[in-house]
Amino acid sequence: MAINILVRFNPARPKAGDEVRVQIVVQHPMEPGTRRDASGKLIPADHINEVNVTMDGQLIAQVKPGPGTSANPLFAFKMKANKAGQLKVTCKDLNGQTGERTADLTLA
Amino acid sequence: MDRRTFLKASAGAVAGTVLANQLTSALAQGGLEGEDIANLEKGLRQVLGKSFKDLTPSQQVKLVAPTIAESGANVPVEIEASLPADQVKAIHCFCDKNANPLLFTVVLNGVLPYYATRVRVAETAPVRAVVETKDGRLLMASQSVRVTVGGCG
Amino acid sequence: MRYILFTVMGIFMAVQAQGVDFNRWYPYAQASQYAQSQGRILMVYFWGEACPYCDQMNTHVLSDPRVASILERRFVVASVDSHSPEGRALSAQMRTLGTPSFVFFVPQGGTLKEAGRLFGSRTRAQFLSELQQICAKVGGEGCG
Repeated sequence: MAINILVRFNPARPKAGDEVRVQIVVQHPMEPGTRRDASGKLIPADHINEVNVTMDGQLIAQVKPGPGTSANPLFAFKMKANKAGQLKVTCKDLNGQTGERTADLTLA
Repeated sequence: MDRRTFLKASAGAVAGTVLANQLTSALAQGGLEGEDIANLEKGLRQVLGKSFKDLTPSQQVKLVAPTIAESGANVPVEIEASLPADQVKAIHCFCDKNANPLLFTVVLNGVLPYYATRVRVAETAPVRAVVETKDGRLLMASQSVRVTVGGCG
Repeated sequence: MRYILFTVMGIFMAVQAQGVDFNRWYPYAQASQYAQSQGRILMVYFWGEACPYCDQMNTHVLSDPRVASILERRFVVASVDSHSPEGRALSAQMRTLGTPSFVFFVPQGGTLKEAGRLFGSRTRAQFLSELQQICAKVGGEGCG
């Protein structure tokens, strides 16, 4: 099953040249590999280890979260809204599952 | 008794006024609650190939994190550098007492020098935001996050 | 014939007991049986699904290599969901305050005798030293 990603811009439609906060939330348990289950067995590590954010095809940020990132993680950036464009977020976890989401940045 | 021994000894004790005063003076001397440089060094060496003494505490790095966290499972951190965006290469974040001290690394390339996320903190310890500049400087901001211990009724 | 059967069963049980994995946790009945048959300290761990302090123990403390190692050497852990019917009955019987709770028992003359109890989450260093204290009180090797 693909990893579910949510993307939000704040403000939703910024003015040209304004700062915009890009809020990415990913639905993922982010198992750190040290958690014990009800029978005391270690749950194997399974966390997102790479998130790539591109704007119109150009890589603008790359996150490498470790086991120290919380479940259902938030990844937030700030950028200058110089022009409208398409933001794309892709991620993968230790089990090789991937997720992808695009969001259009439109200016006011 | 050095500061480290003192903190260790006080961790198990009931915090009284005297203790609180001693703790305040210990903190005033520059130590952070739950500091564990030896463990932090492991992460620094592995990720940056550097040592704690290579990091420069800087006012240009702003780290926002709660001083007390009810649950170590979900601690919001926000890191911002007051540097031109084109000078910042990456932001790293560490926690002194985590089994794996590296919390995350984020490489920035065209966004502003800002990043926010939520992290896991194993127990009361400093969180360190390290901003890596393009000219190779490592600027740091630290803040101790106290993880409460307790139970559910 | 019956004698042979008992011998075979005896060997089978001995082999099975030797192969017990003490790096994991067991239901209460099984754990208390292992405590008696293997001469181990029984640690009854009461946890709750929605208790963040239990999550903290599960993620950082009970998986700490030093904590895991002493538990594996000298203890057997009973994992009890405090909200299950069995968990509620055991909580009432052992008069626990909430979760996480740890109640310790030592096998003595065919029964289990309480040897200490802890309530609430704690740091790795503190939990380790408390386990060492209980272990030392009971006596024997492997408490270090």
